[in-house]
Amino acid sequence: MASVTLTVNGRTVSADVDPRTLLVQLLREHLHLTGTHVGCDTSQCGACVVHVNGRAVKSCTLLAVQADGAKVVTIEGLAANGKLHPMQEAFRENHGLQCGFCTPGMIMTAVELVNRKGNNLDEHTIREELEGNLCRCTGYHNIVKAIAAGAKAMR
Amino acid sequence: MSASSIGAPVRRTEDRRFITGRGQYTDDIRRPYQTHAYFLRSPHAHATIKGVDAKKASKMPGVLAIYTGEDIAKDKVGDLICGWMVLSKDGSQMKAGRHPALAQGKVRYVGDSVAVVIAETPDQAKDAASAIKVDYGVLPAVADAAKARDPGAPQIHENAPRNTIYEWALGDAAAVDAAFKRARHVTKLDFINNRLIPNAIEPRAAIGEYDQGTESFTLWTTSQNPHVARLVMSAFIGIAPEHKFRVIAPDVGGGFGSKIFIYPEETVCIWASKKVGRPVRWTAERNESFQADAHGRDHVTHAELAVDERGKILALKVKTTANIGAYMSTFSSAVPTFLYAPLLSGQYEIPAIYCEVDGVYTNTAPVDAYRGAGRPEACFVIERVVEVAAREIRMDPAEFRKRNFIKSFPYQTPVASLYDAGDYPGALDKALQLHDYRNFGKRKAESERNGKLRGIGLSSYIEACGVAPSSLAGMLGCGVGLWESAEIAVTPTGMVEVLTGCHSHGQGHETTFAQLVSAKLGIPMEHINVVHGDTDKVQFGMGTYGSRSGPVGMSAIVKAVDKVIAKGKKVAAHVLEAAEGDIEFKDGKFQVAGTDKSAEFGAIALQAYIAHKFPTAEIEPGLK
Amino acid sequence: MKWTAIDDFGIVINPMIVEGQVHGGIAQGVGQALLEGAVYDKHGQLVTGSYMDYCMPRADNLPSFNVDYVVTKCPSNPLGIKGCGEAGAIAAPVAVVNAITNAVGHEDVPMPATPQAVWAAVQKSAKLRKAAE
Repeated sequence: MASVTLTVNGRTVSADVDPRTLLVQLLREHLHLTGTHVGCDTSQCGACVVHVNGRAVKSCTLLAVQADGAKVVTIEGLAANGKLHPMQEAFRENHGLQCGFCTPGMIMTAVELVNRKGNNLDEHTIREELEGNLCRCTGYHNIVKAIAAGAKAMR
Repeated sequence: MSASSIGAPVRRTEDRRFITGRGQYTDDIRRPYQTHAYFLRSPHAHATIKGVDAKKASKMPGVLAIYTGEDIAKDKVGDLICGWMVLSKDGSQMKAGRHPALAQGKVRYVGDSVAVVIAETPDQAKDAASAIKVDYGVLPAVADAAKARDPGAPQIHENAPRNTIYEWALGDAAAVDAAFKRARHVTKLDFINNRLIPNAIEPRAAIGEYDQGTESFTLWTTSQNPHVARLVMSAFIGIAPEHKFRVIAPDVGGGFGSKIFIYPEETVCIWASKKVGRPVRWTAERNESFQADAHGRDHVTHAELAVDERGKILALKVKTTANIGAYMSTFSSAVPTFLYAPLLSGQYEIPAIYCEVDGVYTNTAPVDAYRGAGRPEACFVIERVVEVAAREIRMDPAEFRKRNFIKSFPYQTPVASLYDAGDYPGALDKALQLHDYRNFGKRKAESERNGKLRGIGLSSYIEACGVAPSSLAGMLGCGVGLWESAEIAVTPTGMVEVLTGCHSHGQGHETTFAQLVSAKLGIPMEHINVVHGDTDKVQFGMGTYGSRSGPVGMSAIVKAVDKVIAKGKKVAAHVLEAAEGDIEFKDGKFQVAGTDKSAEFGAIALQAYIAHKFPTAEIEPGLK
Repeated sequence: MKWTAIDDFGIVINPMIVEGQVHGGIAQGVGQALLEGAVYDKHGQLVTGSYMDYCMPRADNLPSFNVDYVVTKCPSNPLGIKGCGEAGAIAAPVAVVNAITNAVGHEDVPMPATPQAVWAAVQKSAKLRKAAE
């Protein structure tokens, strides 16, 4: 067993885990934060994206022990004081989700994209930056619109 | 807060939980004392099972039980079924091979489940599974539908000689042959409709739970149709009597058809939950989704179109070999037959059509409905052959289509479908205009200057939504009806529950169904709750697939709303002291015609439950 | 890729949701036409067994779509509506293949029309052009 301590959505948490535990398993099983989803086994679908020390990371491809001492933010931690994050609002306003399964990862990827590339994102940039996030429902058309709108609203 | 309107782009009610990570998908649910199932799957496409040695595995840490097909047989668990009988041209029934929930005696595709390990954690189950020794007698395999009937091809099911399930046909062969003799031009094409894997981003999952006290079962499952799952598992597979069996499809992350069918995994989970006395859960890893979710398409087709000297289509002849896979999945027989051939007329007046479809077994995953289910295959045939014919006779493909469009309705096609209404030239013209078809040549020349090839393609599709009316479906061999159920339950304070037999796994029913009821009852959407996916709450439903929830599901809701309004008028007549015939319902109010005496919908609902103001011998209290 | 879709769904209850269904269906149809294909080898081994080998459509594989409607009410239900969930997936694959075959000038283009398949088709057009000279 290995001991990990990290901050998740602002709270310090500690756990003893089997060393092969993935970060996504720590979040879902130990912390009951089931908003982060598992959609594949080859690190491609992006449903598991969270922020680790401000970077968008696929939590299925990180061991929990690698996140020891890190600051992690999941989809549950995005809304502050009951108020939705502008990117969350943008997804709803622009119908950027249908079944919702890819959505947490999409939103976390989008927020970090804006942090890296600014508030004026063109369609081409957004589409390229979404290579690591699969959606089967929306055809991406409205996701791209949502992210462009959310980016502007994040100013 | 006011009532919504039909045609408004209302933002979705269900989004709130999805954008905040508070959806409840099957894998998110935790049950007390739950155990984890891991399926040991065959690495061979075709093999006999000579023996399964689980001695070492069953002693490994955390393992509660290991089951095989023998245990399924001992408990007399019924086989998985295909629910649509298809007859061959000679009248004989389709050759359906047995499909037990865990393989018995033989495996027939890579991914076929041989054993299940039930353990305290998923990793312990997986570790134990790799310690199970299966003695396989490997057999030759055939994966290609075109080769499955070759002499000497391996026989997959004993009761299906030459791996042939059926040889089916629709249409008039003689009329087609006669028409081809008169043709000025014949276009011939051979093509493959490539095999697809639905890959909803949420993998399939199931949690089976048995309550020893009440002797009842609960199954959480990623299903597009929980009532159908309950019916099949109780009536055919025999897991539990229907009235002691609750099936819940919570939030489901996409289906596209792949989550319609009743699969081995949920069957085993629910059966095993009674045997181990604890909840048994399973969630597919993505590689399992690839191996064992029902695949789609996989047709090999030869098509010919006969055209006269004016570019009018005379006849269409189609021959398709459809790969059904290693076992017949729940609706697999109908997808390449009844959901395919009746759409081959496309949007055109085609006097004669003949379509033959041979369904064959191969050592591949079972193939069943996947978004479009037979109709993408049909549209590909007709729109490809029409486009090529136009090119071959040097007519503009849009012009060729217009020349052949059906212009008068209702129109009876030669492949059973009766078209009710449509404006095919109008749709095509609008598309051409919006796309700037006229200036394609300029764009092509520009592309060429940039060293690129540019092409344009059209597709005028038609499809059948809602599959078919129940009586027709029954005549064609379907084992179930295709109607839909809706119940409108009004609470005493005027809040409304819409209980629908449809299921939303991305389609937004919680919004659109509420929008519809809001518009019809004149009450705000916030007063309406759409309930779906639970057999304990909704009386019955056929589920969501085949583009049916709008036309069939919403029609049921309209009828239910009309019944509520009719009863409301009866109650309102007493409350407002007027004749029932003088009561009108508009904008959320019951009104006495020609007066300003009125009562709000909510007020009448309350009166319906208080029952002070009307004779309960004539009008039952309550409002639904 | 320049894409226009005109659908006749009869009366539309929520155009935002209907359009989303069209987008998603088109994406799956384009996936079939250009990217996806489950492959078994001659021994029945599933060669495309993960997202590494099976090419799912991604945001940068697809354009934005131009979607509009015509309306003929369905006469057989009280709302006059028609289903919309599968429309895009039905119409799209053949439109893509029709476009590619138009571009290369012959009909021998398989699905999926991967870059390799399209390259082969372009080579074939060159051969056909030469033979015609």
